[in-house]
Amino acid sequence: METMAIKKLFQVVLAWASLALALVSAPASAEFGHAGPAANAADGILVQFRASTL
Amino acid sequence: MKRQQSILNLAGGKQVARLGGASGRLAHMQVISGRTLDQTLAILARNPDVEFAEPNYILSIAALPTDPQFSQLWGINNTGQTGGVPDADIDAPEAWDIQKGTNIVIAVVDTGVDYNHADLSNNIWSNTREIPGNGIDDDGNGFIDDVRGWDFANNDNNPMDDNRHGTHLAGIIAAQGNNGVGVTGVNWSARIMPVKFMNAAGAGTTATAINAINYAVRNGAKVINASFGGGAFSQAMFNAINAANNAGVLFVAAAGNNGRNNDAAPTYPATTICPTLFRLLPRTAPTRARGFPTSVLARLILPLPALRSAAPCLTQSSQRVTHRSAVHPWRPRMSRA
Repeated sequence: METMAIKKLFQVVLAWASLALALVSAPASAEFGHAGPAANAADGILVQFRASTL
Repeated sequence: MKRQQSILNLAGGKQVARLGGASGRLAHMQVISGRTLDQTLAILARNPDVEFAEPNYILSIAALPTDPQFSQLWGINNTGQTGGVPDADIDAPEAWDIQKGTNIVIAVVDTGVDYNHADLSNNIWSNTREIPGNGIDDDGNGFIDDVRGWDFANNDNNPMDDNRHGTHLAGIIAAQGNNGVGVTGVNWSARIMPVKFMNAAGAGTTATAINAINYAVRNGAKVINASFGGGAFSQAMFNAINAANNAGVLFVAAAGNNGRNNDAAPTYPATTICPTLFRLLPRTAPTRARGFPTSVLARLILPLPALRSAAPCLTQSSQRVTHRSAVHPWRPRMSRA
């Protein structure tokens, strides 16, 4: 009985710890003052080739 | 060109767009190999044929104040109507005694502009070299029937605002003055060139922003208003701003409305250092209590070290319902109680 209670308590503590961790590590909203994409989010890559490749 | 395609293939990417036309050296690619963005960037960086490779950052609009009190336009003429310090404003009426505006072309590179708005329609730039609706690129600028600008978010000739941000800015800049309608912009008769690159959600990318900047420069804008930001330093964006500079175009970038010191926490493109890029740094947060989360006042920074000083600067306000707005220069002593 006592072991079960300890297990339950441990699970509750673990759940709260996970929630706290998730909140702390959540990505910040856009730096520009509104709920936009996370900072440094990207849509692919821009590649500038050297003129010699033309 | 095949060589460039081969470089992208080797890196596990596929070209989705070419900036600056087919012969341009800047390509937008998507990663299709399953590698991460960082891994792909590392591969490209090692290739001697690649000048630079960087993330195509997601950019977004600068937040707008939503406080309806802003509609009273205390920034233009402060009589203390919102509890602020009388005459803590840009002295617009005094300036209008001397000059009410010119027909300079100002590109609003943003979410588009409501070009039918009663206070804006007479001040919208018109591409007179293009015959509307004939399906032909009459002026040969690469864009068909771009009579009122271009929409790079949807790649069409209708830069109508589907967000409200761009219209807000356009009103600040050049809502028609003395017409008995709505509000008055700082410049009563400037020509607003709507160049849309952000979607209805207020988001775009570095690639679409560069296309929009290039369009504005090539089609006669003398000032570019860039009230957006995001990502990190972009060499491609830097190059586009520099090209605008070399063409004699002033690039004005908002530093955001979050009240941060951009020297400590860079915001791009505002923190990009170019000779004629004005970045607008938050100074105080006078409306925090009314719900606008960050600063409204801003100081203008000339980013060349020798010129770096506080000066008259730009800020903005809005009216939620009618899209009335204001981006205008502030006197350095500007403050509100």
